[in-house]
Amino acid sequence: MKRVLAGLMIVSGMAAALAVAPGSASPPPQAMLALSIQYLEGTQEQKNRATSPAVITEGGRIIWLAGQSGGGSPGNFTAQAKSVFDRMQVTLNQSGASLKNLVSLKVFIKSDPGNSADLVKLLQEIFPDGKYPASSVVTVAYAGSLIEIQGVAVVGN
Amino acid sequence: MKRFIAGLVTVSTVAVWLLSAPKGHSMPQQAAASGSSVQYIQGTARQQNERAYSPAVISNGGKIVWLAGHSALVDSNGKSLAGDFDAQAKEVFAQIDRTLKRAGGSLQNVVTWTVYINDSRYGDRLVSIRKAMFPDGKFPGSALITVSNFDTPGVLVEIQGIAVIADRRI
Repeated sequence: MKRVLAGLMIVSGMAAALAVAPGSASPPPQAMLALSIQYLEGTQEQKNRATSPAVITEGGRIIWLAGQSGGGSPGNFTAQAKSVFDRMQVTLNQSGASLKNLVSLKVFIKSDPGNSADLVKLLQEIFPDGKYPASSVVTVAYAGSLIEIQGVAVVGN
Repeated sequence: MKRFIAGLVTVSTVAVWLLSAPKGHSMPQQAAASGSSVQYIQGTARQQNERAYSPAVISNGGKIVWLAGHSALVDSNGKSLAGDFDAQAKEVFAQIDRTLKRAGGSLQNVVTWTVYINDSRYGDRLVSIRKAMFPDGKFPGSALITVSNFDTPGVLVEIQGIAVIADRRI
């Protein structure tokens, strides 16, 4: 009986998966809402800061990331910032997304002249096509890590 | 009992299938977006009247606008706003409104924002200015954070919001 029950549940699971699969013959309305994404062009100042003034999305899955702080390399801002994006990449990959899917960033950095310039350089490397997430950058009291970023990503169904 | 559970599982599967099944025709993208809504949960008297924020805003579908942090050292005519908190805050709200108009919405579509100020004594001023922006009391959810500083020297306030442009605001 237990085996029958387990079997039934597997079949149910498959049926549910089939019912919501975007590739099936007649997908449900939710799956029909394909992701559309649009980056508003920024002013020169916004481009210099490697941010879009706004990113507009409709549909898709939204991945709400926790704040991710930089590890290792004590005192090395650029290395810590890279490690933040490496770690975000790992989390996003687990959700079928990548750094390219980031639409919003809240960046918290330790106040230090030059740190934000290093951050901009890094963002330009990660988003060479200029499709930047919409970002804010504020400086906060030093808390172990020199940088923490909280992001949101949107990925197609 | 076990048979009953198995029956329940089957019934729920059918329910899931029915809920997600197409209604006989394919839905174009626009139709799927219609019926989108944004609902504002009414706050306490303090939240509504004194702090100008909603405890929660619930959105369903619609177009999401992810805004960058907006700050303003000059107004739209290029006049310096250095050292003038009220003028910077008003210009930031105006900027957000302009950005949202490019996306087919307005300031009224903001559902949540994080407000950063670098001097906590300006908190009350910020709240009173933003209250005037929402005469219908449909405030975004909000966090107000005092930070040590901003990227650009002279900036006193930066606001990063998320807006949802839906068919209905409730």
